[in-house]
Amino acid sequence: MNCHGETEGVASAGGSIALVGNSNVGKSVVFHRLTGRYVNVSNYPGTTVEIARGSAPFLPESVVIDTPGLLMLPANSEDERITADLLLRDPFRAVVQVGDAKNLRRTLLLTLQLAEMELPLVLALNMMDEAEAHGLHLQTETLSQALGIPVIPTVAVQRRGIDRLEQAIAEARASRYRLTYPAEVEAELAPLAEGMPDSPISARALALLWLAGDQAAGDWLGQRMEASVLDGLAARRDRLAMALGESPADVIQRARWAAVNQIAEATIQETEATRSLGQRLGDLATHRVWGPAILGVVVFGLYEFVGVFGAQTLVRWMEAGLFGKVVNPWLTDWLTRWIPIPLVVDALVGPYGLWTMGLTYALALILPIVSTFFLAFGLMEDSGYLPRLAVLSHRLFRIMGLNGKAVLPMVLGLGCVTTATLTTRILETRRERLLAVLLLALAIPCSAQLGVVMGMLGAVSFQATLVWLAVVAAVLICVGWLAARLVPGERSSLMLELPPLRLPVAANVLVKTAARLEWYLKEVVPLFLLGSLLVFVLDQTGLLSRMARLTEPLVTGWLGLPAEASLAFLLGFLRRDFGATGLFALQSRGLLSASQTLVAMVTITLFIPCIAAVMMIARQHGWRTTAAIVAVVFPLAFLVGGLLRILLQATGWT
Amino acid sequence: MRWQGGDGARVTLADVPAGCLARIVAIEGAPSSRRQQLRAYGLLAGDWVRVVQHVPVTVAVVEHTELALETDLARCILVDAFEPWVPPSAQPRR
Repeated sequence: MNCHGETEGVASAGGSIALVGNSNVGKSVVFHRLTGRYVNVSNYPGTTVEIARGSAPFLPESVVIDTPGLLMLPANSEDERITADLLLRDPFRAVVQVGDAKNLRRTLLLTLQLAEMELPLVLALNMMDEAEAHGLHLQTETLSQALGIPVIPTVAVQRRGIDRLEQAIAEARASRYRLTYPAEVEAELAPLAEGMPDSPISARALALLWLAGDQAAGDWLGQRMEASVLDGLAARRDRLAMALGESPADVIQRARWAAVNQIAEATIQETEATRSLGQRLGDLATHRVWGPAILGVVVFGLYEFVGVFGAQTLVRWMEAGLFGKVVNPWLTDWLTRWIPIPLVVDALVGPYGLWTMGLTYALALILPIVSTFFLAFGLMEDSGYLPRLAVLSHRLFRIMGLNGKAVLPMVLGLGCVTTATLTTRILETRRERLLAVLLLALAIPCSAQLGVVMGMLGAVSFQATLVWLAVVAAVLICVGWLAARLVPGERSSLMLELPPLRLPVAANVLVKTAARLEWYLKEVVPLFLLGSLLVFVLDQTGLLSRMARLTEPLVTGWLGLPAEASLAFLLGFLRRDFGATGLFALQSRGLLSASQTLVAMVTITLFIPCIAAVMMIARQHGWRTTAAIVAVVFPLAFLVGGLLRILLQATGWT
Repeated sequence: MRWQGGDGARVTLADVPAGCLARIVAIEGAPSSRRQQLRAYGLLAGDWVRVVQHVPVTVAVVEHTELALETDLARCILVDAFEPWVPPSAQPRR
């Protein structure tokens, strides 16, 4: 949920060093330790969905590249393919595989594949402390000898083993490890490898990827070979499958596992360990009875911290207190005294002034809300609770043609829809990514908007908050259900690793919150200023009242809101939270009744997402799909808002 | 509650009572890519896994990883034996 540009250009005259490994093994922490550059670190698989680069001070003119998690090759999801593609395209000075020490066998399955690529390789066995807590004692020297590569035990969060790792990277050499496959596979491998084009990885590894049906390797070869040659290669693969009587990928994987088991047996000494509190709590968090109860406590805690403390108490201190009584009156007085041109004073501190509207909205209303949300969210991310939500919500997402894994981008969307759109890469099929993006664009409010909504509805009644939640959830489920039936393709079944529950590290949560707030201010303040300027110009030229008249049938007639609400929806085009803040200002002036507040909140929640999110959807799915999503979302928001007004009137809400 | 295969019944991970250890015998019925992913997580023939729960989805402990699996997928994992799991703290001291 960090909207930083992920790929920073850094000169790499000394070569690149790739960090690869399974999901959630601490690659991003190792990246931070090696480069000093912070990238988002969390305790759930799929935090990194794009590559990040940073210079390596320990190896002048080299860059370190952090990659999305990779379970194995062939790659299955879009984020996994990014890593596979990178290995095929970039000649690396060294590859550092970061592995989870307590899951050594799974780690080694990937190590063997990387070793076959004949890339200079180092294995960092991370989270050694957790392995020891699980009663595992690993003979890293034995492992190093078996694989022919340096194996460095690390605890990256404590910086343990990093100096040794840096030294090993500087001296990294290609592994001499060579696995022999069954005779039928070996018979095909040799001639296939001979015909492979030059690539950064060994011809034998490339041929193995082809035989295993790796899509990234297939695309790479497709760009370098004539179609007829590629057809010949495909025919060889089919012949091999016929001869084996099963998929070559299965046979290759079985051979690797046999080797992995042999190495692991010589390396692991296991003693019995008691189950930790985190493990017990982890089990309870997905339990059929305790799971929902814990979720209820988490949601209530979030509501109290963000919706009550952030959106009401802190906002009151900031908006009514600091800005309303101190800063704004002083600035207005000072500017009126020193600037003799009323138009300029009005542009700065008038009703639609850059300071009184733009900055006051951004700093006094939104900042307290997002600060509390980012802090609470960081704690949730680092605890490892989010993947457990996937288990609890799986049945709900099934209705919408997805599986529980889709809850990760949805929850991230509460922080920032733009980044959440990027996170849909962890979903396996294009159809699932499309469905998730549609739901994100439609019904997932970002933290700022959510905070404003909670604050406004909290001021009305708790019942109003429940009605809002029920309407938005009903729209989400209905649209998801319908879209799942209209978008062709099948749902993939849920398979998700649940990381151990951990006590969040305060420093990481604070650094992450600060990074997110920095991003937020950089993105929000210019847009809020632009929006204020736009509204000021429209007001001065009389266009604002004309627009309000033009939208009157929709806003006043259909939604039953005061004419001034048109302005809020206009601001909503820039950012939904900006629009919500405009409505907040209306409520503060006593211009919205309880039912009007509810209708306005539902409509603005379902309104089109911010410009940045629209651009991201277009980048991921193209402009035609984006236009189609907007064409569904925009009218639907007003349709649902109007229908809710009718329903509220019929049931006697005022 | 201890069961050893041999009566010809098709028993899958979805049938193993929560709290039991089960021995994998094969993965059948899932798409090839899913089979490979399951194996990459360590669900291999002859290996024992611990079933934590089945509702709302099946959760199994493989090596030292907890893996959430949709019931349909758990039904593709055939087992040939299962027995109750005894936590280390509850095991008799030797």
